[in-house]
Amino acid sequence: MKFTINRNQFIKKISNVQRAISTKTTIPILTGIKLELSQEGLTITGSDVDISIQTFISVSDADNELHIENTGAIVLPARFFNEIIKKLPGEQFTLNVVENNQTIIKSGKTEFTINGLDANSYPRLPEVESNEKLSISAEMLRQLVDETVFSASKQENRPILTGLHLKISAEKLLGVATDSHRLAQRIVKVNNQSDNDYDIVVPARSLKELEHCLIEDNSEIKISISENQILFEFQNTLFYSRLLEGNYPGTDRLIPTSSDTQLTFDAKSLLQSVERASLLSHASRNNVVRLAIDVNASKVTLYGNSPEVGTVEENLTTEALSGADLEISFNPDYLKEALQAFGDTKIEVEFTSALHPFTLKPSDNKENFIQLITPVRTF
Amino acid sequence: MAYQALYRVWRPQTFEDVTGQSAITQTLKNAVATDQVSHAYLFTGSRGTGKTSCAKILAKAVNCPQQQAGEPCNQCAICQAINAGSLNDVLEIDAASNNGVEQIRDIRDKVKYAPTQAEYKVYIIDEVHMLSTGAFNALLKTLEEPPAKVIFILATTEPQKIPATIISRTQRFDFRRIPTSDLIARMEFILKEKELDYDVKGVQLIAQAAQGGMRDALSMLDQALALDLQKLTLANALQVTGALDEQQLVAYFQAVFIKDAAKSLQNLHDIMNSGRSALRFCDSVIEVARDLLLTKSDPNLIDAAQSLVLPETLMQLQEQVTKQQLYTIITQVSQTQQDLKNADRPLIYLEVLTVQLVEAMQPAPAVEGTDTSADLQVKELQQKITSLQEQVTALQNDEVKETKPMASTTSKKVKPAPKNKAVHVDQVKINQILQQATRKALNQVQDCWPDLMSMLNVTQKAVMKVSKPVAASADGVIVAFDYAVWFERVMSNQEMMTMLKTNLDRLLQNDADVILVAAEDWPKIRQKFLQNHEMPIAAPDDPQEKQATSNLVEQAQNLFGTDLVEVKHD
Amino acid sequence: MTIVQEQPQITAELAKTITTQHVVHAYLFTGSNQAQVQRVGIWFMQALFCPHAKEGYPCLQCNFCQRIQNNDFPDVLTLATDKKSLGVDDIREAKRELEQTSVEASGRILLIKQAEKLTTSAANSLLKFLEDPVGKVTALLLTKSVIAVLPTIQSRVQILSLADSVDTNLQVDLQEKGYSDNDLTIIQQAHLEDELMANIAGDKFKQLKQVAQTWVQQLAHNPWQAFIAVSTTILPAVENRLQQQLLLSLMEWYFSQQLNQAVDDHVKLQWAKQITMAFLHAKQLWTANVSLQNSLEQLALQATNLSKRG
Repeated sequence: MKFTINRNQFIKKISNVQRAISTKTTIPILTGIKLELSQEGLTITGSDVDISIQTFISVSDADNELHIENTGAIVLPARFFNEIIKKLPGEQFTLNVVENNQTIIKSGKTEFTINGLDANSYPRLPEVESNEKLSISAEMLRQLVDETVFSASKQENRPILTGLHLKISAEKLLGVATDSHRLAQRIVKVNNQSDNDYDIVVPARSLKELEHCLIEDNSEIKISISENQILFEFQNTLFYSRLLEGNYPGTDRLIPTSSDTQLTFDAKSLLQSVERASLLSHASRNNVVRLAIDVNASKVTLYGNSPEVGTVEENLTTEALSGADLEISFNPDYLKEALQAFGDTKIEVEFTSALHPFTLKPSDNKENFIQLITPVRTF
Repeated sequence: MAYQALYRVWRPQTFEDVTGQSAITQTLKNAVATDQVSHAYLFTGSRGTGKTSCAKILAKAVNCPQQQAGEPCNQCAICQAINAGSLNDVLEIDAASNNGVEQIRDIRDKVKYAPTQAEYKVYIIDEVHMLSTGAFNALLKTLEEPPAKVIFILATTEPQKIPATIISRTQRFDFRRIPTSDLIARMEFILKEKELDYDVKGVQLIAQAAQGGMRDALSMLDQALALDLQKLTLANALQVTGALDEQQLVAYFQAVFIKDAAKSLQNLHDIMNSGRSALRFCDSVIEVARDLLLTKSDPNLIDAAQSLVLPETLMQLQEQVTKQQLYTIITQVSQTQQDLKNADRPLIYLEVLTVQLVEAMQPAPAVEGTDTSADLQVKELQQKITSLQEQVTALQNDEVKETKPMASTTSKKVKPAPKNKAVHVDQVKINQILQQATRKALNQVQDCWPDLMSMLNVTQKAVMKVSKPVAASADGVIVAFDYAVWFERVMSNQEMMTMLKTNLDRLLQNDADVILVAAEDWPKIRQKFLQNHEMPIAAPDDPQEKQATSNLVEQAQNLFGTDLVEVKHD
Repeated sequence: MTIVQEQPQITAELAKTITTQHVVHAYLFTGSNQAQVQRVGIWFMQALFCPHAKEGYPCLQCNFCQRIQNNDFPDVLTLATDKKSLGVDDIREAKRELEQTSVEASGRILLIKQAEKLTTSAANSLLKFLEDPVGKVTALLLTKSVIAVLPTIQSRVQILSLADSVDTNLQVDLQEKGYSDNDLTIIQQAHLEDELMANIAGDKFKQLKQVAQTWVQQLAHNPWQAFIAVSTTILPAVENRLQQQLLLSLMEWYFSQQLNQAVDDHVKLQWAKQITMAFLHAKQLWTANVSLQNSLEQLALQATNLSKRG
């Protein structure tokens, strides 16, 4: 195989692929980057088994200055290859695979000869049937990930909870993440021309990597789902992720359908109050704040304390207040992260009892975005 | 890969299903039914006896809304979520991978969150013996102040590694090994359910080899069935259990019993060449020896021990051995089992073992009476005692003779003996100290001894480690060394002696001298002093000596304290 | 010769479990020859994943088979170490990875080489996984000694033992290195295959064999000479720990021979037994990092005592 290509263009295209390549893999060939040349263009692949990213450089795009002499495939050690390309002197470089997977990279007056590996040993990317029937805007996908993934568990104890549960039925994509003490659920719209419903769990880490690849991208993203993999396609790039195995806990029944106390807040000012209260709760072993709601007096008070440092008490400004009196304690960090996900909006907070999870919803999007926080038992 | 191992498919889902632990399951059922569930349980017992299964059933039973007589329904959403491992309120934690303080603290912090769906939050901590000491302490805190509606179930195969403080805060259930008959019944039940034919002997063989573990039994059953999908045959059971076949075993024992080393080794090689594992070989030999022993003691015991009845040919062998020989066999085989753990190649260990077993069959040397060995030992000991007694008297006589001149010569020097090149014990000074010695003074020295030690540097400390103060008066302390070598070394180390004295004086706030003796000499020195004072011949230049009382015991009490006076034969 | 020819029984059994769909989630393969155990392990993985497998036997030619052979297959996670032990962190990472779906094949495999190297905590942290893996995972543990594996692990896996058989690959390799047929016989009978993975030349083997044999005889006839020979003959002959290992294994073989040949003479047998026990003790000391010189000299001193009494 032999081709010449514009160096800067090449560096730009492989930056996403590099994300997938890990140095600490038990499978030696995965420390490599795979280049596969056809008459149509150059396909570049990187993978750490968990995620695989593939990008295509088309011969028809003149910016690429891609000239193909003969086709073929090779795997090159990613770390060196990357550094070499970055430091080459010329505008263009030529890559030529000679005998025994030896690869010559030429640019200007420089010539590197690198030992490559047989491309046949490289893992086959999964065959995910790309039916082009499922798609979502990049903007929507980013929102979905941003607003839910922080609730996923960071502990390995229950691996299934380290993922985002995705359910697709008709034009609705529902994403849920929970670490079993709080939960975030978001529903967004997808274009679904198929009749299929899907129910999968995608590792949170994969989605965060995907987000990085999607920065400044506003195209429509095609999604394909197979038994073992999910594939996102955008701008000549394929992003594959494995799924998590196991049964995701049934979260539907966790979300209360009725409530006894209802409050409405401005998310931003509530966030500031919680941040103040948590200054002291962080200093105590418990990290708990207490919320006291007195409906008749229209008084909602947030208490934080640390036995060593002192106490804080703040009367919260509510936009609306109804239902029964209540005292409830919870971890302020959960509320903080939940409020951060809402951004600048009005939210409705609904309680059933001091021992039951309470919910938070943005007033303007109650149906599609809900967060749930489990209270702490103080008696 | 869709096949599920039998032990996973047939895992008990109700207390009723649990095999061989009826006492425990009944208790747990009652506790659930009468709403008297404890907040912490400890399930212990060897592998495959149902600890984790019971823990899960208990988690279901306490949370199942349709619980009946303490049993979960296994139908409702809660039960099914627990079975699928997807209920957030029932947490199975593997203590081996989460054994640090951090992880247990995390549990402690998260315990406060109210259960989301179920009534009780249940923490099942498996392999709990793997927790670090710090983690145990963190767990202790939680067990001490259990939040309401939280149940901890700790499970382990190694209860001896669990701190007593943890055990005392839990209700402990010891799961016993499942009786062979129960294992057989369960396997037969499963085989019938699967509509498979089976050879009863094969089932028995597997039950025997499983050693009370249901999982072991079902694992082996699975493996045997993989060889023949239609039927459990004896041959396949033999193969998967690696059990020795009767003939091999009989041949081996016969050869050993007739003390034919060549033939025994040949039989051993035959057995090993037929692909039996060394471990299984040892197990079988022990089993046979045990059964022979039981038969010899009382044939009824065999049934009680749930053992398989030995084949006729083996039973007949019992005539050829004594109980003593069987004990020896068992001891030696178990020793070899230990050694095998570190062996690269087991065969040579088994060869040595075989020779040992053949030897064990030799009649004991010097056959006179029945209990020859014990008799011999007694005689030997008696002789030793006589000769020791002689030695002691001889020594005492020597010393008495010796001390007189020594005492008189050294007594001329009134000041403490300077350190001579030759190290010798300053008997005069010792006598002086002993004259004045009180238990109180010794207690004082002993109290500040650790402080003194901490003032020394590492090497000095190492040397002094083998020493301890044995007597003290206001103007002197006697320190005995376990090893004469160290004693001499310290004696000749002027710097160290000064160091000891000054520091000790600072601690005691007096001007006591430090006198060193070797611990082995100390009893003699002490005795000498007492004797000298009983018959007042010694050093006349010490006036206080006259006050010496002739009552030895009184003086001894004065010296060493009443709590120490006790006649010891050392 | 292929592994199927060398180990016809175990491969046939495994092929059968595949065709009858009775593959369980956890296996332990054991045998005295580690290289052979590994080859059976790889063969089994190929059999599980080969798309062209016939009656449970893999084709060994296709791209899948080739990549499994070369450890380039993404659905096989291998745990192996050159260090003394496999720790709990290695297991933790592996478990995280195995919770995810497969990439190419229909399931995933966790391969643990030298399972006897698992630390107690590592082994304990595997228990839950071995009992209830999530998804289609098969665990495959390889070891030379079942006894060295935690009993609670043993009860969760199906244990398959390799029959003793000639390792033809090794034999060809050794013949090329100048080993005589006689040497090969000893290697096979004494199970020295593991020791010889360390690339020891034929001449060196001959020398060590000679040293071992002579010394074992000296110990019987002239223990004092044997004592001196430790520093004059033995130490100059061994260059590294691997050769020490081989030397001790050869000695073990000669002690075993001596024991078996002494069966007809009661006095000789008694002596052979005692010296063999003393040797096994010395070898354990060596394993516990006592130097070769100290271990063997102590053995020689013990021999002088034994011969005095005997």
